[in-house]
Amino acid sequence: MKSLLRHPSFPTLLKNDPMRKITPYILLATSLLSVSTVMAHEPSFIDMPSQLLLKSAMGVQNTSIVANDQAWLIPGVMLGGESTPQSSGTAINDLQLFGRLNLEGDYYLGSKIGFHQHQGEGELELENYWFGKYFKFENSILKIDVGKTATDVTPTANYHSSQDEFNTKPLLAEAFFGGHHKDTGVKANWYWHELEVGLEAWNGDSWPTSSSKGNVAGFVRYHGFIYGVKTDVASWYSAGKAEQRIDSRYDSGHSHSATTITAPDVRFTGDVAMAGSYVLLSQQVNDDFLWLAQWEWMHSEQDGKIEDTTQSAGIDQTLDGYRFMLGVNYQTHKFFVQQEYLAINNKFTDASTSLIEQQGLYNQGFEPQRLMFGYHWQWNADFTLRIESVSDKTQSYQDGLDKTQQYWSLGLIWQHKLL
Amino acid sequence: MRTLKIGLLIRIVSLSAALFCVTGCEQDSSTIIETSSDNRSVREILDLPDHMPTPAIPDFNPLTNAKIQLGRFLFYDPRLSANQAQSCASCHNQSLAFADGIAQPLGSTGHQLVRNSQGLANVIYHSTLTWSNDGFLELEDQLNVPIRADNPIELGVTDAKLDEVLLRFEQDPQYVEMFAMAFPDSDSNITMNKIIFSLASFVRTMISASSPYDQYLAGDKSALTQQQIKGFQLFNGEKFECFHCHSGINFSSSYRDANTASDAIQFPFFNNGLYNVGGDGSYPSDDQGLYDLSLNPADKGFFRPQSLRNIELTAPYMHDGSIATLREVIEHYARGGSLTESGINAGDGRLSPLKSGLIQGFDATDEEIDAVIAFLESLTDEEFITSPKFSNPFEE
Ligand code: HEC
Ligand code: HEC
Repeated sequence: MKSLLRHPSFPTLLKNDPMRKITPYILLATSLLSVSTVMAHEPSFIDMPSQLLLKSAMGVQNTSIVANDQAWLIPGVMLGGESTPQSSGTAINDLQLFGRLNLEGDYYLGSKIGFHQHQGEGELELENYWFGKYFKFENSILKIDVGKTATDVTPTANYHSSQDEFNTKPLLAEAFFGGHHKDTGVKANWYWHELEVGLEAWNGDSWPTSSSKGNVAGFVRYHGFIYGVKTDVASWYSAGKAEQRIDSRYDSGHSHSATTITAPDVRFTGDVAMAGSYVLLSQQVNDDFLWLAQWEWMHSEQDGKIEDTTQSAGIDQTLDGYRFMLGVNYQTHKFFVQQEYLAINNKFTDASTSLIEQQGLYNQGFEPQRLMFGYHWQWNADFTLRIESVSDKTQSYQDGLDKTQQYWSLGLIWQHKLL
Repeated sequence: MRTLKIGLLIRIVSLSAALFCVTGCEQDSSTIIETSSDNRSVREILDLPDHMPTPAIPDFNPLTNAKIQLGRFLFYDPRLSANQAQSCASCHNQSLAFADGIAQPLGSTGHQLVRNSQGLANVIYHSTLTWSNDGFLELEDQLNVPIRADNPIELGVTDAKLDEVLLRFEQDPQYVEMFAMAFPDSDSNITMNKIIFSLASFVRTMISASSPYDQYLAGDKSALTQQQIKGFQLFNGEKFECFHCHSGINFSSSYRDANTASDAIQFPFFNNGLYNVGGDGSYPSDDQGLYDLSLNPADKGFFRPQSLRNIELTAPYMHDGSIATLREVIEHYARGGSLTESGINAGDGRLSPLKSGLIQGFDATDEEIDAVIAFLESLTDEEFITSPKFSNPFEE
């Protein structure tokens, strides 16, 4: 039996030690805290003017990785929220109207109206709206936001096609955040020199938490320059709960007729803890040339029970995800390559294999992966043309073979400052 | 100076971590199932395949091989009926998955029963027992009925006959020994309780889990034909709707196993539109299902959704054996209820006010009906109906 707790970064921590999850973060946090720099530096949002911004991404994709009448399943992973891959054809992948209004006394309002299209159906929603204030102290700034927004623990949790390098959602966002995070809560960000510390308290309605059972998160982040390299390093932790959480990705406008065999109807109740770290490096070498490198690791533990219409079992799941990206920009041309990788370790207690398999939770030795190559041509400040090629190996097939699916997509990103 | 060193350190740490993933990402996916020791011992005794959940065994009557063995003898022994004319097996025949192939059987004294003999495959996974009784939660409660009831009489071991029947076993040295082995901690008396506990233990072992459908679940994707797979999809689809009531591994939403929390057990009963006597949803007056116990008019015609395992073998169908074939059962559902054209039970079940909302009727082609029947036939378990574990020990 392989140890489920084997993790490359922290091989020596003991299984039942409650510090096991947080020790690495404390270590990283203390090391970050001891970085002291001379230059005071104001975070960008302080000067952000009142504005109304339109961002959009549209694209055409040649094939879908799942058939129209099938659910996208990653063996062993409980998917939910809005984790659905883009299907073939043309689509408005993302349309956002972002507004910010600065008020007297360092108060501001923000809102974001979003339009997403999947499974051929579009949906317009008031995705985010928040109210914020910042407090300036001698050496530091505290910012408080209240409302329906997204977490700051990692940019990957807040993926939007119009802001990201790729039109395809990161596999990590799909597997860990149900596509992207979106919840009602309070965020406090404290900036001191190059350091940022964030504490967040959420309702707990964003996948993988559910039913307003609460979710707290925190992170420590360093962003500054080291040897001329723009460096953004952070570690984060979040803990919440889920109750009778169900995969409702296909609940609307989706026919169940042919998919009931595989579409999971399992409900999860239990604790959800997540953690992660990332390192984003980039360097503007000269006016023409920039390179970037990103590494990210996410980890989640879901401990509780699963139930389908009749059977139930205990589950203790750990999910690890890695993302690695390299990129170069040369004048108006940008090239990216991103590799993502998941490892799923499921431990069930008193479970029948029929429950596990019918719910798609069986995974022995299959590590889902996605490799993407992207090219952007930014032909002016508002328009970017992009092409990407994706090799997706996230599904397993009845015949037991793990097929790699290949597709490309061509897209346009357009952003415009309306006000 | 200090700043730079630490900055460098961070860079080295994170870059090496990054490199680790690029080169290694050595982490593998895995699935492990752990079984608690209670469950493990039950699974061992039952020799349960991995795809089956562990059944719930009551604490007051743990499974032992000695009780199971004794129960098997008792099940086939006509001495358990007052007039020695019938045994359990008279109405529960192994080759018919422990049903009897007739609409409504006669008891040992010739008394006409109003209900159809149920097959006994996987009885243990039902949350309640018999066609319609929300109070029979354990076999130990329910088995008093066939043995002891006087209306209708099945085995007819009424109070007056009890001592006589027990004496038969007390005078048989082989039984005395078997009882002593099955109940080593108690005195040597043979009691009706011990008989029932042993029969219950034997009935709990009657698990059907080797049908082609089971082989399919266990990974043999060729165990079902294309037609059967199609039928399974239709069965689970929103047109036929069968799976809402005939759900899960035992094809019944009346389900529990060792994991089911006591507050989560469901006790479903439905009126599936078989009758509508007088237009108010009534069933024939000799058997109105749950209503006969609760006297609540809304419970008229409420029966437990049956397990469909071995359904091919347990004809005729429904609580009164009123439907002869599987095709007619599906036509009943496709019509949205049965029509009784004339007689005292005349009425159109389709229009019953008490019928479940899940039974709306549907248009199905012959091909679709054939597929669903073919799928239901994949639940026939040859091993179950021939296994020597369940056969008549007196014929060995
Ligand atoms: C005369 C025929 C007859 C005999 C003899 C008989 N049964 Fe039954 N059995 C039935 C009928 C009819 C039902 C359905 C009863 C009801 O719904 O009220 C039934 C139901 C059952 C059930 C419930 C099954 C379920 O799915 O809930 C069990 C268990 C059972 N019998 C076991 C036995 C055992 C053990 C014996 C011997 C002690 C026995 N029966 C003797 C006819 C018989
Ligand atoms: C609303 C719940 C419900 C739905 C939906 C339903 N059933 Fe049933 N089924 C029952 C109940 C309750 C009984 C027992 C009724 C009775 O005995 O009067 C039953 C009995 C049966 C029987 C006879 C079982 C036996 O042992 O005699 C078969 C076969 C059957 N159903 C098949 C199906 C099929 C096929 C479908 C889909 C077309 C279906 N059922 C849909 C509740 C349902």
